[in-house]
Amino acid sequence: MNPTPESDPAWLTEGERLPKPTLRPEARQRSLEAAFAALSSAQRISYQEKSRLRKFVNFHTLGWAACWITAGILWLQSPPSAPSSDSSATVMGPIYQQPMPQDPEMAKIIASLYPQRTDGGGYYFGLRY
Amino acid sequence: MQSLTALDLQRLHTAYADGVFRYFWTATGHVTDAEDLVQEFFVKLATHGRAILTAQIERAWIFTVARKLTLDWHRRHQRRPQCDASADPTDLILTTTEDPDAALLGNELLLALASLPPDQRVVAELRLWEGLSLREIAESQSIPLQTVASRLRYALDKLRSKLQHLYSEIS
Repeated sequence: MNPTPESDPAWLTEGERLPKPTLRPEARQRSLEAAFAALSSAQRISYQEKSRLRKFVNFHTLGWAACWITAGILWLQSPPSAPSSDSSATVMGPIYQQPMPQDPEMAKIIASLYPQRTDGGGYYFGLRY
Repeated sequence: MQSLTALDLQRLHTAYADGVFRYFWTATGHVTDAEDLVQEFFVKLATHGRAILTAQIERAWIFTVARKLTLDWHRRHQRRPQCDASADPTDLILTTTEDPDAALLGNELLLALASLPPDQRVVAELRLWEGLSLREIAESQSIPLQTVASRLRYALDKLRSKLQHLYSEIS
């Protein structure tokens, strides 16, 4: 029985030992140069992306920090609020309260426009406080 | 994740440029297309090849990527692999050897391989020239192990019948 390639491992070894086709030198050089160019381009793009991300993070970090600092300063500088809601009416009421006009026609019109706000001989422009 | 360095790329090119060229030649049947695919392969490796640094079997990973590139090539050319009945061995450069018998055998093997159907040719090339195990071939080509064994058996039967006269002389 003739030895077959499968039954004889030497056949495969022989196949591996035989001369094989190889890449032409110019094609080898071309592929190597293209690969290195692609690698440097990929590295440059990767660096640019990292740089862009860093700028984005820095910008937003600084922006938010500035917002919070401004808000804090405004809060510290703002006047204290009134102690209760009732007192605001007491404080603000006289400021906005206007005397009723002398003209009766106009007084009637205003009374119809602000039926809830014409108490005490004046009206309040419809403001609520 | 660690990225590919120039040294890695140089090492991979030295180790696999000829192997992937032979693979592309057996898969496409054309020397110039194979050379273009080698260039495309290493460009792809340089840009997206970080996974190779963590691959368990490096050469199986290499030929997996090569197979995907070959499929893309067939899609681009709207050609199925089966349409290329035989490969064209002209313009191929064999490694030089001082042994005239080895040179003759190498040339005969090349011609015999070129006449095989593409599926069997690829499996035979990976086994005979690249020395991949059947399991590595199955993994890299995404085909069952039994199919690899079957294709290799058919390929070797055909090679044996074509090279019987030379094989008898060397055995």
